[in-house]
Amino acid sequence: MASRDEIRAGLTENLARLWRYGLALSAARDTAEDLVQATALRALERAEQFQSGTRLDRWLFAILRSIWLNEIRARRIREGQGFVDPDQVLFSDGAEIETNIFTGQVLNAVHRLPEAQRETVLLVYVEGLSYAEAAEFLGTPIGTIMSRLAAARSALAKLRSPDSAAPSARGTAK
Amino acid sequence: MMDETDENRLVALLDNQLDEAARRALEARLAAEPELRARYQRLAAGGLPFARAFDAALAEAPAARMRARLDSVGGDARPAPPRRRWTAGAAAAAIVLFGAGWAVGRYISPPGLLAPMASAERDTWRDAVASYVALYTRETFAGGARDEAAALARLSQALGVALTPDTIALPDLTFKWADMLAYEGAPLGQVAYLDGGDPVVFCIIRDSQKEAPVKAETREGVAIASWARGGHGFLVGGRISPKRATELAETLAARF
Repeated sequence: MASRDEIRAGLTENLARLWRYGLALSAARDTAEDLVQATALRALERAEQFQSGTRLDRWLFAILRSIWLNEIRARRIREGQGFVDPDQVLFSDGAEIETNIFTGQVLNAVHRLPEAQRETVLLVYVEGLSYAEAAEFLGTPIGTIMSRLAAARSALAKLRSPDSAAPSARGTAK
Repeated sequence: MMDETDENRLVALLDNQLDEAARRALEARLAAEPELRARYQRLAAGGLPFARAFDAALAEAPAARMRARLDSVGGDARPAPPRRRWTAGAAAAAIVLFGAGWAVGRYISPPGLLAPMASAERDTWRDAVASYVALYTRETFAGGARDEAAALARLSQALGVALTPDTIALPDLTFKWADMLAYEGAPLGQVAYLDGGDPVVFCIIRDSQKEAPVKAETREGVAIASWARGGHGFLVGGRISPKRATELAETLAARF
């Protein structure tokens, strides 16, 4: 059992990471911010449900995900906004993120992936979850984690060098 | 023959998630099967610097506003929330990020957010900055530096001081970014650094302040060393020792 102060401190520490996860799920900055705020409210309400000694960041991520799946995404789809505009640029290009001119391109490329792939890429390659941890967190078999990552890598490789796309390989990734 | 299981194994190999036996078996097949090898190379090419790119994205999070929103969530069973937290949230919201051509420009706080903060108990811009800086963590500053020269040029123009990568450089500190903020309508430039792991800011406000030498104080648990010259107020702040803040301020005061 955790105090609200403990949860609040954990939220404060993880706001930016939660926002980034919300962005990976929703592909919309304003929705990501609303998701963070809804997560904060829910987490504070349910502070007593958090098991001290377990990872607070994962608990917060799980709350955010559940709000996204059960409330916000469902609503967006009902309102006909379920599809991401692939031409929408979510991130500034390399001109503004100076350290790596490639950064904006990587983010925008990931943004074009289907939601399940974006989410899995973020959890495994950015948040550092192992396949097993990601599978547990998402409630899917490990094979699904792997095939999502394979599909994401295939799509990104194609984007990087369109000429090298191997037609025989396209059907294998989902 | 390639199948989906092979592809999954290749990704697991790339991600170093195969056990020793499976890894050896797959490597042996890679040596013998050109088609599998081509697939492997293709999947490898799709492995982009995700972590680095997404860490840079953290810097685009509307951190200050999310903190202000979090701090505005009341309803605790406790009889009175700690005043510090409220003040910090209020002051953080009182400093409105306004467009400097950077992503934060898209996050001007809506009037609704600012309304309850109108009576914020702050007496100087230094209080406001201290409250804001008190909310910073190392993570606020995650990600890479932005385009230093361009951001500084914008600040210089708005503030009327010569901020360049050279004039703002501080020994041992890593520049992170420069932002334009506002305090009660006055342009407030902020240059952010990391001092080891500690966030440090150098702020400049255009104001008709009396000239004053460097003076150190602690506000909201934040060490502030401030001075005023030529119609500008300056400060260096961070959760660092007052001695360190003074030292950094003296270095900058020799230039501004």
